[in-house]
Amino acid sequence: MANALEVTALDVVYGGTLQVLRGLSLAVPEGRVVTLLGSNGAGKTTTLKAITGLLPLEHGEIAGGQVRFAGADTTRLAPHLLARRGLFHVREGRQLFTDMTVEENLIAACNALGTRHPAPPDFEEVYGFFPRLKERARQVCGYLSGGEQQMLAIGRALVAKPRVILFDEPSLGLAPKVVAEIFGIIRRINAATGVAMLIVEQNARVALAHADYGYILESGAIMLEGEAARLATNPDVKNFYLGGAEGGRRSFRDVKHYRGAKRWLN
Amino acid sequence: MNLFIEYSLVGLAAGGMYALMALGFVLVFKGTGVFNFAQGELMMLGAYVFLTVNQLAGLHWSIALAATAVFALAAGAFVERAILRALAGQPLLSVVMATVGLGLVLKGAVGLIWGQEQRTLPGLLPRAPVFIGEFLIPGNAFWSFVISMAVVGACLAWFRFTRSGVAMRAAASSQVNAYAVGINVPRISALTWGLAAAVGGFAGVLLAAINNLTPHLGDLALSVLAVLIVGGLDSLAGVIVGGLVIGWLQSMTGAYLGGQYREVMPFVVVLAVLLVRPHGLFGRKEIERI
Repeated sequence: MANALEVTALDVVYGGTLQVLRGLSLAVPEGRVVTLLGSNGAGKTTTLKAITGLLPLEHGEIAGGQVRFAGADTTRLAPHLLARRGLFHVREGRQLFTDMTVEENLIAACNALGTRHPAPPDFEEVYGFFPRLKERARQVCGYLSGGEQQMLAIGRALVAKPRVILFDEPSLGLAPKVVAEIFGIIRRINAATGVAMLIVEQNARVALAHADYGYILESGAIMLEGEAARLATNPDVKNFYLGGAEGGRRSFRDVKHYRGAKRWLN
Repeated sequence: MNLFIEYSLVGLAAGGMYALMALGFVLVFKGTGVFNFAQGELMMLGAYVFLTVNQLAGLHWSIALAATAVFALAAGAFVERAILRALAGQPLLSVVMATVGLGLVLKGAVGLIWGQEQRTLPGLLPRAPVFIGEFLIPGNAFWSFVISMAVVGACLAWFRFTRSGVAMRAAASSQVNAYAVGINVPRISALTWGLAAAVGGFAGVLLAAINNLTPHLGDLALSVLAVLIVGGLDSLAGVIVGGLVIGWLQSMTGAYLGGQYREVMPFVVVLAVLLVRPHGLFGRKEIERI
């Protein structure tokens, strides 16, 4: 299957000195859900910002490598142009326009349609997936609950009718029950619209349960990749990202001892 | 009682003008977070463009007004591109100081081109007094009020209902997030400055039609500081309410306490408002969910 998004040997440097990504490569095939896992500071968010052109706004820079979206080289393209081509970034922590209403947030996202869909916006698709947003359409979104805000953030992406959606930690700050609900809807959106997705997560258990394919990122490089179901049973992944290994509970001392010797690093 | 109503009407009419003058400040502050000290000079420049097209070239006032709007849009966008964008990432104080400098440059340049003498824009607004019931309002006050409210209302509707208006508020809320939803942030900033300059141009033409036109017309703009603080620097609705309140209060003060207190009263109100609501009556407070 053709890749909707393809990242090859990406190097990212902040402030001209601090190298954050080292030769990172990954691919998101059309219509599939791919997850990128890693701990704090591994470079997950930086990867997404590099793909969607937000790096220069934070003194970051793509020092090498290539990003290809929908068959074209899009490395270093301006972020609003990428959004208009159909590469939509749902940023970490929702990042809504908090002083605007739910509906106004959706209208703002219509800018990502560019000239592809000049017709007036119709939010019925969004309200179909998220009936609660329809009830709150005229409320200032800063006062919504965390789950509802995440729904609105995803709704904004839907409005843009994208080809690929990048999610940055959709589970951040949400109760486990809400996380399950959000991921269920993400999967339904994928099935209904065929949009490809790249989901960055720290919650590896949920992410691997809902994705088709997974990458594991450490210190700015991909350490492991594979089908999500296979990754979920990989002993190292279980140990370091799913909080347990085969053979029942281990003592903290064992884990600590083991930390120094990840198998894939040897 | 009749005196009260008549002074109220005159005060409110003057307040409409204040609202229009304050609108240009609010647009730029809301859109880009900068207090534009050159707004008054943009107003004055607009009035001179109108004067040139209308009086010196002898064209109809509607054409002159359209020319003023186009010129102001271009001038505002140019200021954004040439000055503001060059200062992107610099401390806010430097940007604000740049607008102070721009104001001085504009004042000097206009003086060089058009001269320092007083000009008039006669007959632009109908002088015939307007009667509301049995109460009389001077014609130019009445019509400047109507026009001001129409412009402010149009801006309000534009911000609320159009895609580009919503995009402008989005960019004001967060530039990075605006980029992420596909908004062309540099273009929107230029549009904001252009629109503020155009609104300022209209205000300048009305002011020049009521008073006289000199290169110092822009100094009047800072007199709406009280309006901005009462209404909130980033609120369009606040501009209307603030303008009307200040205009009415000035008129009342002049009528009942004596003209010498007219200029002081607004700042007494400002002090009171700041004590109770530091963001102004309608100003935005950051929404923070915990």
